[in-house]
Amino acid sequence: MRKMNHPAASSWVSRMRNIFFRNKLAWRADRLRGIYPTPLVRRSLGEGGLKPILFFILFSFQAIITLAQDTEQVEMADTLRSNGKIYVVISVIALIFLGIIGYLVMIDRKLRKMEQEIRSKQAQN
Amino acid sequence: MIEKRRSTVWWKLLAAIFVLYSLVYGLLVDVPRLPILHETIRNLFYHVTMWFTMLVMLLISLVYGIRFLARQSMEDDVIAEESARIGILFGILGLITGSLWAKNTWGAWWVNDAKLNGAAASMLVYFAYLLLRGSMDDEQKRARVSAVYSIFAYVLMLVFIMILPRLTDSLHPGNGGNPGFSTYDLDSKMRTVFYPAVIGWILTGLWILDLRVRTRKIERYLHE
Repeated sequence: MRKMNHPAASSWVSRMRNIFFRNKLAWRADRLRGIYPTPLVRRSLGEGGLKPILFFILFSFQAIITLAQDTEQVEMADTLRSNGKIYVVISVIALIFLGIIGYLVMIDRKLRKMEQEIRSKQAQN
Repeated sequence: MIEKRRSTVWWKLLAAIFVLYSLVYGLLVDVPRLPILHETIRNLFYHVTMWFTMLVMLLISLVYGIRFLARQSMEDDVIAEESARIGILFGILGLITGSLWAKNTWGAWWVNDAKLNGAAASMLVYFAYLLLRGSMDDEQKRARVSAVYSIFAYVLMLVFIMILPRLTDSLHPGNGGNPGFSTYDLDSKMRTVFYPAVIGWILTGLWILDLRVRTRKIERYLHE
């Protein structure tokens, strides 16, 4: 949907509307009905007139707090990953697991054989 | 009576593939860098999946216990017992893996914590289920009594490990006011490994259940 251009709105107002009032379908419906918004009056602080500034302050708090965490300083196994030794660990684990799966498959096959034997015996009787 | 079965191989293959995928990518995927946890956050794919599998297995035990009470068919009782055993196996694995994780992050093998004690108590409740089964010789009576017991056991387990820890203080993630791992996994990268891991381990549990139930059927045929 293209940016709505209300005939009675200034460019600053229409930009703010695109941030805080994104219900463009309602806009189009209004316009078709012949309802145009009156020019926005900058409301006083109490009525939420400085909403963009408040949002900016709140978001910057969150950004500052996130910056306060030293995510680069938390020790992780980066060395093990960078020198490729992690793949040795992975291969060992995968090998053990495939061995266990092989054991399960072997049991599965044995059971299937026994079941076939029993079924053939039952068919004979 | 051993009937011919349709081919049930595809989900077993899927189980192996999903778990192998979680074992490999569980170590390779990007994880949030958090203090205290460091790399052990990857235990999400191994410790937590054990508990999910246990929940599913014990649910199967409950369902087939109730089915036995409704239909009085010994096959249902066999499935109820075997799935309870496998659920207990995964529960013990969950306790052991959790204890290892606790030693590494909290500094102690065990803490006096609602979730941990609750999980241990649930396992004791299910050990009692096995003892109850072992104490009765008459097949029908054993099946009936243990089916009824498993209803109480399952509800108790849910209360001990899901409800009580959320009501009190707990050190365990996701309980007692602590955030669960979903709050750290903001880009959902861990979920791409976690969901297949859970499905894979549940299917592996079902595979083991399938093998055990078939073994029991063959044993019963041989001893009749």
